[in-house]
Amino acid sequence: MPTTLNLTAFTDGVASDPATVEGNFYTPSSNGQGSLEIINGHLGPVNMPGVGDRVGREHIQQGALSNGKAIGGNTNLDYFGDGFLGWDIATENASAVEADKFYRTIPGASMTFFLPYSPSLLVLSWGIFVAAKVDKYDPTEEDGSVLEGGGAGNPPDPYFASNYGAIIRAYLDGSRIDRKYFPVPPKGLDTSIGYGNWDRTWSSFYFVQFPSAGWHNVTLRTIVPPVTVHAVDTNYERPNNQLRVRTRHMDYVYFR
Amino acid sequence: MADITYPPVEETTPFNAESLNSRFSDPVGSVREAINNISLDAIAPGALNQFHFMSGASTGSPSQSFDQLRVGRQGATHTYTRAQTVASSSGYLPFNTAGGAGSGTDLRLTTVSTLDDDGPYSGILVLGDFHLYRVYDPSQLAADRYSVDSGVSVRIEYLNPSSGNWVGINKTIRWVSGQLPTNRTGTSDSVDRAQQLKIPIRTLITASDISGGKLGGIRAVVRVDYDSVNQSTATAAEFFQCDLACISLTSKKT
Repeated sequence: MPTTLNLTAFTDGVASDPATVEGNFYTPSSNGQGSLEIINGHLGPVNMPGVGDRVGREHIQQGALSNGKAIGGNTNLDYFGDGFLGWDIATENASAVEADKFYRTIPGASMTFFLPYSPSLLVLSWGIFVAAKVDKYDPTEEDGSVLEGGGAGNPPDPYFASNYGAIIRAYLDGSRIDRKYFPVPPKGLDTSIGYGNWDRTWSSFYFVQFPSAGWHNVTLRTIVPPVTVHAVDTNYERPNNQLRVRTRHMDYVYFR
Repeated sequence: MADITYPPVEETTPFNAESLNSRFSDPVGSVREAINNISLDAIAPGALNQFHFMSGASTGSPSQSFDQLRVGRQGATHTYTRAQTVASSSGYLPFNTAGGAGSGTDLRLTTVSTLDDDGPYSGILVLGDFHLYRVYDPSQLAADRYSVDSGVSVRIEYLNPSSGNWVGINKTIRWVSGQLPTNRTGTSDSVDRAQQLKIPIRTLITASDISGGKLGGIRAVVRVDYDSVNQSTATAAEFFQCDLACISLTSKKT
């Protein structure tokens, strides 16, 4: 608690006690009031009555009140279903830990950063512009891709119908940020499902109050479903499913 | 201005109570007086760091995520209709856990009550993320439920404490189109597809944005816009997760 400095006064005619003199120089106390030890962190507004709010930015160290950084990228990044073989919706629904093993970090939307102290608030924000397409290709007798139990022309794409061309999630320090999830709706390869605009932007944010000091990482990660499920429940891999990541950025700002 | 000085005790100067007091504690020129009246000049450039200041950001009360609207990939939606929009007095419906019926909990934040360019709070940074699952006309056949002319608008409103009314902030309005053409009969794969549009809002609200610099809260609202193709009041907007958060920015120590 800041306080004014009060030193012991000496009385004329009384022998000066060396301990009193030394005590004026250094007598540790909770508020530093009784000695010059007050300069060890006990000074406050009461010691600077003429300063008030005239403290300028030149007095403040960079990063003392807030700091941050932004990164980004605009090189196209393509992710194909064959990079995610083994993932399926059952795994996604059953275990985030198991499903996370299939997610890939997106460069330009991921960063590692250092907090020199534990700030009151950390704000993470990001944006990503993506397009997904599903290899909409019905099995045929002719090419041998017809599935057991199914016939040519059976629509085999429940993921398509369920709007999953890809899934993008945000992670902080390696763990999913709850609620920060984006299912990218796909555009199909055949003309009948080419209607509409299916490119998507996801711009979002996340607050962390009093994060720990030290290193942290925040990432956007994605999976591109490699598997479609046939109408009669036969798994069928479609590694040509694709997600194209275009521009993206990741920012952080922290406040004292 | 008082500098800290400590003149040496010269050979001929008595070392007594007076000479000590004049250096330690006298009203003028002593170390005590200097330390109790530190001048601005005594603060070196870069002398102050995070230990000398309070936070410049206050998340208000609270930094709220709308957990009640949290849904998974196949979770339930909260729905708003054109009919409800038309019936509302402002033309907008609060985001609510019960949708346009409004019988649940609004997506609303309590925040600082006064904004002033001279402080202590000069602005509120508002961030919103609204996940539109789809906007469509359920009264139509499946192939005709969508229309490029359908759409929704989202905006931020503040509560005027004097009138008790919620007031829209026009600069925060975000509009999105349904983006899908009607009449897709024969293209079964494109029927009843969800748009999955994320609608972001980032805005800084300052005293000039609100009447008298006073506010009683912040909320997010939505309107289902008129669809001139289907011309139906049944047009509905279904949302997944919606988040709203704000930071009250401190500009002056109190």
